[in-house]
Amino acid sequence: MSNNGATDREFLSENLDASKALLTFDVEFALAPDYQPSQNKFHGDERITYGGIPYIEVPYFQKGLNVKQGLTGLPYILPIPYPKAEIENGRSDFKVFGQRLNEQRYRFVVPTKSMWNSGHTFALLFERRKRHETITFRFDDKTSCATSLNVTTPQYGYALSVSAKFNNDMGCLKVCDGRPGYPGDCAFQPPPTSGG
Amino acid sequence: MLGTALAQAAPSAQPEVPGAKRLGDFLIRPTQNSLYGPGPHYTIMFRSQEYWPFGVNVVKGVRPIKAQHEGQPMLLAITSRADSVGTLLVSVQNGTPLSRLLSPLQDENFPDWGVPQPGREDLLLFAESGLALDTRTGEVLWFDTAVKGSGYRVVGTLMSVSPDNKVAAYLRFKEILVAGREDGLVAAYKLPADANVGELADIFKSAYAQAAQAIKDGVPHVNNHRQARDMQIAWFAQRFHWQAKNDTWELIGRGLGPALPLSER
Repeated sequence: MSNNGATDREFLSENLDASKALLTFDVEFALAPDYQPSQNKFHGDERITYGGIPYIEVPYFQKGLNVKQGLTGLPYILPIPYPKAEIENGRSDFKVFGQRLNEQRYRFVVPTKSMWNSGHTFALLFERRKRHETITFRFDDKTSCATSLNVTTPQYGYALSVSAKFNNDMGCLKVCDGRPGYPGDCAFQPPPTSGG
Repeated sequence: MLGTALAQAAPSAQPEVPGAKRLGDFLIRPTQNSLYGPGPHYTIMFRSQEYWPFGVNVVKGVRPIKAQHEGQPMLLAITSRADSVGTLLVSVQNGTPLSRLLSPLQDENFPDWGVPQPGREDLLLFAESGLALDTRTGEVLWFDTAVKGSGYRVVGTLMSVSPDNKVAAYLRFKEILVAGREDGLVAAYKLPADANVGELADIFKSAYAQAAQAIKDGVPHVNNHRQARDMQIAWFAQRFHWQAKNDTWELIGRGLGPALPLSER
């Protein structure tokens, strides 16, 4: 991306470097999704927004120590400012639009975000004849299991076949229930198997 | 490796909770008292792991349907009031249980288990959400009420699904809409005047009277809207029915006039 500034949160998959990404995600739609690409530029800054293409929404999380200003001096008659340390939780989302390989096949790159951690989930969003559909995935790049799945979307039951390619040739891909209102989050994290 | 072997062996080794029900690899465990209010609540376990549909840890009720997916039963589950999701269809996909929302929760005392379509008891109608569930195949049937050419979708109450599951009839204030899948609305009919001000009004009046009587008799919770909806579906099935025509299905019935032109809507 030419302008990978802090304000950017929308990308095209073809502009991202797949070798630095978390994974490359290929989708084959049984029924072709809507494809009416559009582009808009904000007047205030140089940001570009896209639309009309299937995209993925990837959340990132951050836990950091922030220094804030506190005030003391009993009931602020003589206010004395002092630095106050606070632990803050941050969330940020990237929107990555798919690269159209043909009518039914799209490729997505799930990028990393420097200084931020991935929640290891993302959502695929698309439309077919203006019917919105969202399906959420969870991945894991530490263990090794199935990375190609045939899945059915939760709202309209569209059939997709998806496959993920991880950079270290090791990984896991699963579908999960999406968390309403938070695209890209899973509603439920299964507890790790106790292992007896 | 040892860990996974033990985890797989765990369900048989676990002492069975009294009242726990096993459905395939699912184990439905009842909880008597919880913060979620009185009455039994259930925890869904799948292969010795808890499954919380849409993040909901206890559900108010679970019923299996006839259909199976990946050799596992498909379940209808109702979430409790505190979590307020609604009626869900739980099915196993690639070894993971997943949920689909069939009907958002409206009345916690009268959860929506779906109304069997008269004459087709295997088909459950979720009237308000406009979805139907074929309990033989487990297929969730949706219909698109979008008007062609204009972007907007009409809201109606699902009344009946055609025998081939391709089109469905929706009831509105003054019209009956027949909706298909890909191309949106198929047909629209004017609701016969005697139906609108006569029979439907009688249904609402009698549902209201029954609810009022039930409250006098000391029945704690009555939902006259839900009752009226069930009566409407029965009334619709009595008055209108599907007829095959040029490999699609057409709605016919007493007092139903010619189809209205869709473009004028």
